[in-house]
Amino acid sequence: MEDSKIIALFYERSEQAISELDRKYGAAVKKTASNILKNKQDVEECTSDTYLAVWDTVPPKKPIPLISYVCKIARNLAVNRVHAITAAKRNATYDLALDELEECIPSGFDLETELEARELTVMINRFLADLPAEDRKLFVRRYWYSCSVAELAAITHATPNQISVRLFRIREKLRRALMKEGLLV
Amino acid sequence: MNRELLSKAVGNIDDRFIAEARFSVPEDASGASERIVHMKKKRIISLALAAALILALGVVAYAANWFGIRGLLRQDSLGDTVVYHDEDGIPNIEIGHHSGRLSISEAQDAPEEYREWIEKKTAAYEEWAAYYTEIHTLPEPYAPFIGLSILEEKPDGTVDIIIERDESGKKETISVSAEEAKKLLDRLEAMGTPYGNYGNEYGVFDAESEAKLLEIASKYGLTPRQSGESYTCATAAGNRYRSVDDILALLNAQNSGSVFSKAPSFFDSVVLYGNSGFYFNAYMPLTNGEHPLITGRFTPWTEMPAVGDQTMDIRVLNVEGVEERGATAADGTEVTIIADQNQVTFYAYLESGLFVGNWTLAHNSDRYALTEQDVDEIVNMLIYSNMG
Repeated sequence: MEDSKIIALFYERSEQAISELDRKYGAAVKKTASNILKNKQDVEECTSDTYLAVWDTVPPKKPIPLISYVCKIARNLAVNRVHAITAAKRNATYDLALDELEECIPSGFDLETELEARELTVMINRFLADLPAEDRKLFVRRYWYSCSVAELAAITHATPNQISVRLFRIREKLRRALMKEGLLV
Repeated sequence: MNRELLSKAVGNIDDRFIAEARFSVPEDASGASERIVHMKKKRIISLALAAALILALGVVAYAANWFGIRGLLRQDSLGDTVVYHDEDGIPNIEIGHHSGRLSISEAQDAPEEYREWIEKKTAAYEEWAAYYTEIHTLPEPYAPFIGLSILEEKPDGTVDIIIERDESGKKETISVSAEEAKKLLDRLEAMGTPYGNYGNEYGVFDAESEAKLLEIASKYGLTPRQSGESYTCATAAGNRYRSVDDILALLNAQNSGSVFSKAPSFFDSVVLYGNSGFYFNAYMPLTNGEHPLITGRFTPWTEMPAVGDQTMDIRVLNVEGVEERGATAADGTEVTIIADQNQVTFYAYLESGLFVGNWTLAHNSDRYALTEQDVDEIVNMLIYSNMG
């Protein structure tokens, strides 16, 4: 079913909207959540919460493409859940990906005093737009979808070492791009 | 804290990038095959069917020089590990599936007149790949790793290196001298910094590796492609922004004429390699109002293959289950079309090189599945004889 028809069902407050959303994007939502949450039950709850959040926000929103909207909600809910349930222990894939990204910022440099998250998002968007498509996908899959290096290696038919080096190069490019933007010195 | 800010900033990146990077979910593995429109199975080639095609679709099936999926299928990829989703949508890894990968840049088999190029490119690639692996692998005890941090020097003059070997989260600490740590840091920084004109494309990071690349290429009569110039219509803020017309003008200028007979409605990205080679992600306007996202790549026969090119291959879940057919495009070029329920790949051997186009269901946010008629329409939107 087309996105616009699913959205129309949400506007009609038809419960079929949820089942159509699940039919079309259920796997993508679960994958996004399961990359961050390792517990199957947490993934299921996060998926249900995502559908509820869509129900609560559509209408008034008309998000096209719907896939990005639902995956964003799933990711945010999963990240919040990780913070809530793993305050004391790390989630290997999600935290490792964040550790890597943090390497782009010199230690002792406090980003928060320098800019708002949305400004940084604008910079990262600009950086991503300039990246070759394959590098962009790799970056987004690692740092947005929180995919493991092993999974990315299997998907792209590369070795984990090659993926790690490619990611290292992309992070270097990001660091240089942030420097160029005048954010880092 | 930087960490939360980064998480939040990355979490809000452009929807387009999120949609682009979404994964292909093999529907037959997730038990949801009813969700998509299956393309009509059609293993050709009988003369009767070919005649029907001429009448119905205006394309011609042909038997001469027929390579079908073989033309692009990497034999070394057969039965590779694949990632699929179980009935709950949870990703799993399976080994020994009937999967394979189609190269989008290098012909794997071809008519006689092009085989010499395949042999030269294969030999050059093998030589370069061996060297590439050698220069891109850290020595033991650092390799293998998925995460590596070099800490500050301690008062006793040693430096701790924290290594994560796998996804388990376990960390290993190695103490080395400050000099050794500096060497490692320099090596990592060098590996992460592209060098010269070929750095981005071939992973060249110093004069020595560049010289080696040129030596191997020259030995086989090939030329490396330069770092591509990339353009996009996706954002007006970036310095790569161009209108569709501007991008078409740039693309046509490095080829022998117009590459598209019908202009795409939007370019997500275009990379021009300066040697007539190019790569594009474009939304193609169909007469039925749909705008499927098509990827295309033209690789000159004389282009030296790069190690990273393999990561751009197209995965096929069941190589024995694809449909194969031939078509003659509007400019007379013979095009091979390979399709399964998740994607369509079309390619053409050209005098100057190889063109491969691809459409993948998962990359199209509205999950519109192409019909055969749509595929023929897309195939005819390109002027193959002007490539190169």
